[in-house]
This record gives sequence, structure tokens and C-alpha cells, in this order.
Amino acid sequence: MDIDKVATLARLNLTEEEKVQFKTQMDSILSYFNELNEVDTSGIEPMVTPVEVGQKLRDDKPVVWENIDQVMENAPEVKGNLFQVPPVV
Amino acid sequence: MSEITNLTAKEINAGLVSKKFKATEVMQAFLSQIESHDGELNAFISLNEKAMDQAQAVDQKLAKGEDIGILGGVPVAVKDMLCTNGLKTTAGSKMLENFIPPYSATVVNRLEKSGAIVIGKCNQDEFAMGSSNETSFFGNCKNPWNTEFVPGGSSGGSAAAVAARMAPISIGTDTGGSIRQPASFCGVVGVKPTYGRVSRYGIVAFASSLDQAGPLSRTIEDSSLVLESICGYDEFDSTTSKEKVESWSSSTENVSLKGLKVGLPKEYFQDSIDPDVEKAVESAKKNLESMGCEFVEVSIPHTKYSVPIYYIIATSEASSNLARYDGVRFGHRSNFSEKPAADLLDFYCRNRGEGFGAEVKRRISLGTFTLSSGYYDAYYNKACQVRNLLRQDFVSAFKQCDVILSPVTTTPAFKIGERISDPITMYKNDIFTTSTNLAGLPGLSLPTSLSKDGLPIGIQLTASHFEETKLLGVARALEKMTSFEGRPSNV
Amino acid sequence: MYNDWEPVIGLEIHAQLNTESKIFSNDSTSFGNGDNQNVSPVSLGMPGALPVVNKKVIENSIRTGLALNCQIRNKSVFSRKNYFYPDLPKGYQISQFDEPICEHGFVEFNLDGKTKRIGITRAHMEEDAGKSTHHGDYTLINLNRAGVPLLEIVSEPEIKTPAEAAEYARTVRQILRFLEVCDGNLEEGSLRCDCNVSVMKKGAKEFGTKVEIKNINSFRFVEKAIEYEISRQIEVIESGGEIFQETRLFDSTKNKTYAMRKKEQAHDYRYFPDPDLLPVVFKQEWVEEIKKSLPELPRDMAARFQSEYNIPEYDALVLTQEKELASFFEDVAKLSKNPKSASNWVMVELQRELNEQKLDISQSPVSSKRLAKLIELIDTKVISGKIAKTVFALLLKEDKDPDVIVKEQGLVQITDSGAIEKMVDDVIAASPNQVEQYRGGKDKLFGYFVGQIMKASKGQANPEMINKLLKEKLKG
Repeated sequence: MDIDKVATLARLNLTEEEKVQFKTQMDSILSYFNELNEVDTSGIEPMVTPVEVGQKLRDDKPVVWENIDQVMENAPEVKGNLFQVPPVV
Repeated sequence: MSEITNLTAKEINAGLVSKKFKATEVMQAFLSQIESHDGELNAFISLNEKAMDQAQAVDQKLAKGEDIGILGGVPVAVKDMLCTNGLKTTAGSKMLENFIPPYSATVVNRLEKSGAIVIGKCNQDEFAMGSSNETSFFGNCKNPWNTEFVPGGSSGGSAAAVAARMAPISIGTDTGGSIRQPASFCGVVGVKPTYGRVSRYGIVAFASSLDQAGPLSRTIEDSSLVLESICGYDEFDSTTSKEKVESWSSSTENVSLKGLKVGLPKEYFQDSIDPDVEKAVESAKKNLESMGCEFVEVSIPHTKYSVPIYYIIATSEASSNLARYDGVRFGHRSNFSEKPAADLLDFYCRNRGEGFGAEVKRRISLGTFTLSSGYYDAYYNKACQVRNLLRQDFVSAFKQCDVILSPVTTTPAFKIGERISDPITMYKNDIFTTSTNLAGLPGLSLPTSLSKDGLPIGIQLTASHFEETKLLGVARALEKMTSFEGRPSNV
Repeated sequence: MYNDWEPVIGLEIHAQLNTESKIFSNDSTSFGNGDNQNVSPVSLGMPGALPVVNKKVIENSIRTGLALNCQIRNKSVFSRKNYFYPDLPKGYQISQFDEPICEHGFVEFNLDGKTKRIGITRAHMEEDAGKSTHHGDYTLINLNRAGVPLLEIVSEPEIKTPAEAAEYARTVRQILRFLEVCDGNLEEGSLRCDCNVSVMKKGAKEFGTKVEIKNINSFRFVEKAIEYEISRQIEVIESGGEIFQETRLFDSTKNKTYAMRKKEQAHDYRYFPDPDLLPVVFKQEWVEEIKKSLPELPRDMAARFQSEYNIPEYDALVLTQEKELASFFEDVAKLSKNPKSASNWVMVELQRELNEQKLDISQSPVSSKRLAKLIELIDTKVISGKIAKTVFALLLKEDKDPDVIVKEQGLVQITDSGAIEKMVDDVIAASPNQVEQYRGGKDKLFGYFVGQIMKASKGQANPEMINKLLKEKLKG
């Protein structure tokens, strides 16, 4: 397992120490996970959720949510009513 | 005042209605208990500053002769995974250290509608990832029975708060045992309802297909009361069920167990189980038999895979669920004025690298890997397939029995620091609880005895989907037969 | 066309579905509200917020799928597409991956007199992201758009020319607008068109490396962008270079595509079924019900226009480009009982006026009823075709019925033979020289006499009657 690749994909800064530790632990966890290979699952549907009934759909009715001010108060950096981040282009 | 803190939610509510005491007195009693003990136990991350005002409002209602609801005036401690409008919600993480949600979880809304008052927010493992409370950014919560021991996790604070009489009832969340295991470690009742019973709206998501909130209390009756309040379809959560919500607090009273079939999965008793735990199950079996239960051996052949399935699915879902913590709209943002972000990648990596603790980063990494291109089929998809087989095991087993009796964990509470460095051993301890979540079944932990070291031990009962009535009925009957003294001596 | 090279073109059209609320939350989708006003915990990706599917989105997707001749899946699955971007609040986009709601469809259109059929691989539902605006040393995020419902319609990679691509896109837009599921506005982004282009040696089995072109905001540019891209790719390969799989943007001022700045990371979207959303399952009856409620689609309508109104294919295709135009034409045709004339008036006079004033047919200054009345006035010989144009010009300015205008302006055609005979006699009497020349064989002068009589009648004399009487009188 390529820990650098995974950390980048997951957008996580890891210290060198963490990288070494995670790599060792994850390798052993993954080999523990490999026990699943003993199970013959050919033709078995993957179970994504325990609920079996279908989707309940919502009517198309807009509702105004009024707590945007508190949302902006939680934001690390804002300009007006917009969220601010470092330049992305 | 100490008398009030020893009352159940049911008794508190009744006492308020019959004007034995006031809601403000009740709230004061619990706040004092927190004041005296939480310094040491660290079961709360924050307290609700408006709790006394809300208690006063209940008293005003009582004075006017108005209905205060089935949980009217009852303080409830809520795990910090549940969003509380205007009250800090951290999920035990530095990431959300200062997060004040502008909305409440449906569970919180429903509790408040039933008259309950949120007394405070409970400590927990960071993002519910842990079984010992040691991963909390806010320090370890301690076991009220012996503070050298963990309270369990991830809902350790919720269990400790009830055990230490700092709240009569609390709410936890259970993804792989996070209600039942700390309930067992702290000697309280903990119920994980059927997946889909309780709305997940407004609850910080760990693993969407496994998470389910539920009550912790000192009696089955109190947990039933809470379930009546929080269960039921919610238009804001597509996965909630329209299954009928019963008045469990009354319907589970005096259920006859005659002829009821209790299953013992043969696979559960193969691993090395602590003798005290084995004894607890044995004595529960005797008690159930004495009430007319029949015991049958059942088989859950895929039990040994439940931990790997669980960790693959839980970490995969978590890696995606926790992607929203990016420091853009809320949550931790690195100090970029000191050191500007090199690029967008650096912006994310720093925010997330600093905001999350080690266990969360480990699990996000694991889940990112198990979903990644080239590994999806071998891990995530494979786990989902075996999960289906495991579910089918339970469906077959419940054709032979009404409930399943098992241990909650292989051992009673362990010492703080004892297992934190060994994730696999820690994960493997979840063997009896994770399968319940994977199959979506209702399960509970009922305290039955103390270990030789004086630590509580619970037994686990599991029922078929939406069979809470049966589950709670059996537990309540067993509770009556059990002579568990539920109060830690030093609180 | 491209020597021994063959282009392979596929289009991905993102259509914003017309709904009042977003796909997974009940925030409004209305355009032009203040910054971050159409948001809620769900669209902001706040902790614990959960998606709930808007029924209208499913319904509109089924409608579209049926109109695009797709198979509709009675069980389709929402999946998460995981990637980090500041305007993607949850860190994943809810989309559909291996079980989309619509699959295996096609559209047909006419190009260069031939019917062309292009296959549709799939159409799937997804949520839009928010909007980032860049300001040099910082970027601002507005999430009003986040969660707006989109239907992504993916064509088979079987489009062969840039013109075909543009016509395919126009046809899809036309269908979406007929269904009233999307307003199809490319400039406002309610319809977005990404083109996948590659080239291969003629007859080759394997496609070349494909390049995705984004940021195209008109169908004309679809054609130009692809045209440029094909030539660019051929040139690169022929000069020994290599085509990279990348996203390029189209610059309409320079008529060129250019590569976006290299992505920092290779994508690994880690799609998996969204456990917050159960599969969307519905009964076939619902699909049948929707099928019954489908409006007549453009090509069927054009065919019907040809047979029912006996108008040429070209007219029928032009008139069915927009639903409102078609229904305007039909109203005029039915009310006037003269479809051919209705078609001419709508396509020529009215269209010219609308184009000039940059108006939509729905904003037409002349109602279908009035235009029909005008045609009726011509057909009943109350006015001449020439006068009709005058009346039409007045209709554009005045809110009056054509017969009122005709009466007020005294434009009624003179059909009284006595009156016309008098005018003919007067003109002949007043032009002895011309009469003599005409009778001497200068036939061309006939037009002169007609002109004079028309002038005298202020254009109102019935031209046929003038002709007849004039001929008789000039014979002497």
C-alpha cells in the first residue's frame, strides 16, 4: 500500500512518523481483511444498506432556510456572504 | 438532592407531574452531580447554559397545568455527535472544536418535543472512531467504577454520565457497538435500535449504513421511554422506516417468556472469552430458563468475518463522510496567514491533517484505500457481499429463535492506555457487536453482574429487524430477575 | 474530409432540470437570489445533513429518457463521486454510476437532407456544484447552485463530423424544451455541452486518445471547437507528437482550444453507492403514466405538419424548432384555414420581425388570432396581399384587430366593377400618348397603366379586376 498516494487522495498531511506507523498498521490490517477471500461470494449481491424498502421521494416544494447568518459565523474566512479560500486557479 | 439523581427518568417525570419536586430542582441536582464528579470523569465536553432556563419553562408549564410530555423536565445527556442548535457540537474532534450548529438533529428535536432538556454534550471517541474514548480530542473520559479503566466507546461519555448519576438518560450512537459496549463497561442499559428506526439527520455521520442513535439509561423502562420519543419516520432521512412505533415503556411490562426461544450462536463461544463474561451469560441463561425460555443452538457461520467486513465498510463510508471537513465552510483551518497555502492540495492537507487525530486519519486512509481504483472489488465490494451472507445467517437464525443471547465483549473494561497502540486487538474486541450493525438488527446491553475486579458486565440481546417489542420485553423480564447494584461506590 | 483520418466525437450534455427545489434538499433553485441564500445544511454539506430525493427530478428524468428512446431502469442507484474542490461542499458529488436511470436511447435529426441517428449511452441524474469566483489572491464560493438537479445525457461516440455534433446537440435541446424539463439556455449554463474528441486512422478498430472540451456556450462553438480540435490532433499526430487525455477549454474569441492547467492529482473518484440514499425504485405503471403524458415530440410533429397541413418538409422542420412557434403556427393555420399561407406568414414576416426585435415567439406583438384574421382578410379578398403587408406593419404597432385597422384606414379592397371601370377610363383618358404607343405594340406599358390605377385607388383596387378591365378597354 502506497501511504503517500492514499494520504494525498484523502487530503491528509501525515508526519513521517505517522506514515511509517500507518503503513505498518495498515498493511497488517489489510492482510487481516484478506481473510474475506476465503468466502465464496460469486453471484452474491453486495449489501449496501440494511434497509430493503425503496426510496421515499420528496415533493418539489422550496423552503427558505433562514439560519445562513449562523453558518457564516462558523466559517473560517468569509467575504460578504461568500466563503473565502486561497486562489484555486 | 442525591436522591433525585438516583431516580429514573420515569420517576422524575412522575415526580414533576405530582409536584413532589420542581424541574429546576431536578436540573440543579444533576448539575451539582456534574460539578462534583465530572472534573475527574470528563464525561462532558460542554454543558447547556440554557438548561436551567428550560427547566424553569417546564415548571411554568406545570404551574399552568399544561402537559409536559413523556420526558417532561428530564435532563438528557447527548453525545457530541448529535447537532444541537446553538450549542457547540464537536464530535470529539479538534476539527469541530468551535462548531456551533444552526440546526438540531431530529433526535434532539424529538427529545425536546417530549419535554426532555439537554443538560450537556458527552465526550466520545473522535468521530465515534474508537472503543475506549481515548481518541477524544478533549481527553479521555473515565470509567466511574474505576477511573483507571476506560468507560468504553465510542459513547463513553454518555455511558459514564448515566452510570455516575450525572444524567438519568443519555443518547449515544452505535456504529459497531458504540452504545452497547460502553453501556456494558459502565453498568448501564444501552439500546441500538433496528437500522432505520431512528433518524440520522443532524448526527455527525461516521458510517451511514451502520450508524444508529439510541438511549442509555439505568432501566429498560427508561430506554423504552426514550425510544418512544426518538423512533419513527423522518422526512429528512430517506433511510428511516415507517414501521409503527409502540408504547414500549408500557407494552414491555410483564411480558411472559414462556415458550420463548432464545438462540445461542455456537460461533460466539469459540473465542477466548473472559470467565467473568462467560459467567454473566451463563447466569442470564439460567434466569431466562427459569422464566420458561427455551434455548436453541443457532449458527451464524460468517461471524468470524464480521470484524473485517465492519472495518472495511465503516472506514470506506467514513472516508467519504468525513470529506466535508475541509476547512472551507466550517471547522478547523490551518493558520495560512502565518504560512500561506502552496496550492489547493496543501490547503486541504493542512486543514485536515491538523484537524483530525491519529485514529481518524488512520481510518480515513484505510477507507480511501479500500475504495480506490483497483481495490474496490477486493475490499469494499467483497465486504458488502459477505455482509449480505452474514445478514442471511441472521435471517435463518431468527427462524429458529426469537432473540439471541450473547456476550457484549470478550472482556470487561480494560485499562486506559492498555490497547490504544494495537488497533487490531482493539478492533477484534468488537466481534459480538459489529454483526448487529452489519445486519441492521436491534440489540441491547443489559448490566447483569460485576467482575472479580468490581467492573460491570453486561449481556447482549439481539432480535430480528423491528422486533424491539420482543427485545425490550425479554430484557425487562431479565432485568427483574437480576440483582445488579448499578451504582458505582464513589459517585 | 480529413484525408485518411476519422474523427470520433461524443457529447456529454448537462441539462439543468426545471424544478422549484434542488435535487436533494428543499432549497429554492430560483436564479438571481443573493449570495448563499438558496442553501440549507444539506446543500452546505453540514455535519449530519442528509439528502432526500426530489420526486420531480425522477419524473423529469423519466420523461426525458422516454423522449430520447431510452430504456428506463425501475431500480437505479445514486453513487458518490469523491473528489475535493471548494465548491463541492460534501467532498463528493451525488451522481449515478453503474446503474443510471436511462440507458440505450437515440435521437434522430435531419442533416444535409438525410436522417441521422445518434445513440445515447445513458442519461443520469446528479447534483450541480457551487460557483467559484476568482479574485487573484483569493477565491469566493457561492453555493446557491450546489444541489441544482442535472441530467447528464451521454451520446455514443459515433458522431462523425462537427456539424453532426452541433445538430445532435440542437436536437437534444429541442427535445428538452418540448418536454419543458429544461430551458436549454447555454449562456446561463442551464445547458452545458462537453465534447469528447479523438481521431483515428480510417477503418481503425481502436479509438485514439480522447480529449474533453469544456466551456462551450453555443452550438456554433460546438462545431468550431470540434473542428479546431480535430485539426489540432491530426496535426500533432502527423508531426510525430502524442495526444494526452486532458480537458481543454474553448476560447471563442480565438477559435481555439487550450489545455487547462495541469491537474495536481490524477483522479480516482472512488465511486460507491450512496448509503444515505436507497435505490430509486418505481413501478412500471409510473413510467407508463409518464409515457402517456408525453407531449408530441418535434419529429412527430413535423411529420404531422407535412401530412395534415400539406406544407413542405423544410417548413415543417423550421416551424417545429420551438414548441411555442409550432403551436403558434398551428393556431394560425387552424383559425385561418390556410396552412400554407400561415406557414409563410409565420416563417417569413413574423420571424423577421421577431429576429429584428430580438423577441421570443411567446412575446410576439401579433397574436395568432390576429395573424389568422389577416390571412382570412386576404383569402376573402377584403384586402390584397400587398395591403396585407401594410396592415401587418400596423398590427405590430397597434393593439387592434386587423379588420378594425383595415376599416379605420379605409384599406378595404375595391371590388366594385363600376368604380374600377371609372378609374380605368380616367387613366386611359388622361394618357392618350401611352395608349397610342401601347396599341402600337408597346406591351410593356401595360404595367404603367396598372400602376396609375393602383395609385388612384391608393392600392386598394382589386388587381385582377384592374387587369381584366384594362385589357378590354385598351383593345379599344
